[in-house]
Amino acid sequence: MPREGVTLQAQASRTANTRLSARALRQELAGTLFQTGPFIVRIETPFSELRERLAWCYGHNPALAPDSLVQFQIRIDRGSWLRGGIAPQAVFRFENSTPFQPFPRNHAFPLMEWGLNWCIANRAHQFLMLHSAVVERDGRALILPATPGSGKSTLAAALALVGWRLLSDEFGLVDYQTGLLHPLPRAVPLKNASIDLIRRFAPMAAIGPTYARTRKGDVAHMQPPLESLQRQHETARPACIVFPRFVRDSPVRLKQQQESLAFTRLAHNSFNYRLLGAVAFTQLGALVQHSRCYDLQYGRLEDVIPALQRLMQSAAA
Amino acid sequence: MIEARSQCECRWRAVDPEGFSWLPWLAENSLFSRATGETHLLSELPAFVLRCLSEESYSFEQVCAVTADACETVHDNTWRKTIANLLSMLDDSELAECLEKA
Repeated sequence: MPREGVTLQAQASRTANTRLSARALRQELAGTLFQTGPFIVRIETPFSELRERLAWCYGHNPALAPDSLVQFQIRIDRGSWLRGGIAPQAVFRFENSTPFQPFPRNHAFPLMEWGLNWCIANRAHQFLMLHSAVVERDGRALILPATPGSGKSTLAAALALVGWRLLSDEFGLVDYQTGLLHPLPRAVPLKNASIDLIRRFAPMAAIGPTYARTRKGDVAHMQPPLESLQRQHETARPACIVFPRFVRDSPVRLKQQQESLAFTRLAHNSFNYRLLGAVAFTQLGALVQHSRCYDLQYGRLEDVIPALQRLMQSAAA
Repeated sequence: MIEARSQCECRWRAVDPEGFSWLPWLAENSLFSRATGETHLLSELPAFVLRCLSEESYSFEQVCAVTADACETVHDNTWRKTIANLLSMLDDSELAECLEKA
């Protein structure tokens, strides 16, 4: 009897495992489908923790039909089975290619986010793509172009937390027919000191786990605000272009930027300016001519946010 | 060398001026060249010269004369050197070229 009991328990356990595996397999095959601005993305992965993180981040996005036309089909796979027991890895796959070295499995989410950025930067040439954060208030967009490390994601996150609509922390997607900016609401990657800075600034901010020692240092992602997700098809008209630079403890220094210089900096800061050629030249020129351009140095979020609010109000006047 | 080339009997002209797109700013001009795919930021004098060379070809002396007149300056050797350097810069940027007289 005891043996039979053990056998039955084992059978029940095996059945449960089989059901669980079948469910996991179904989830893996179905993938995680979500829309971010103009793009529909499908992520396939055997990693349940990645699916959970995607649900946390993009689960509030509007539901999509399973047969929606997908622009970016990505797979985050297991690395070599040889390393599986010692240091499991995550591999990014896109259109039968593996463009990056594997990451540790527990960094699968930042790998997916950076990989998706790479896909967009290399494919979405229906837009002029500026390397910039974009936020909007009262229908007017503030473009924050900057090189990595200048604090644009931190500033965009902070502005989103005080009521500005986040369009993107990374891409200024300019429609070169209309000149309008398209939203691309995604998780905002906060790096190193910015993680605690934003936690102190807004203790209620939804920030996920910290991924330690990635290629860009420690990274934690802020959930995209619900309003940004709900209004992800609502374009915005550019009003101000501000080149931010974080300098610890610096007072706010906001200086008007010559249009010619702003144009040159934006062109250098674009993902596809050279590829688009004359079209990008014309559209970027129009963008600068219709916006006010500033150079910004700041050291404290508490000081820079009111300054930017005043700036946008004056731009509206 | 460019000065020597500039001052010989050759004619200067813009390279593919139909492929230029201009964006005038307050004191400068952004210029996109379809021939090279490059964008340039030109101050007033090189922009003026390039606009002239886009209309027709000029000898070095004609460029010196027309620019000296526009800038209300003396057409002397110092000015010739300034213009020679400017033409050299436009040549290096593949925006203008010097055609030997046939």
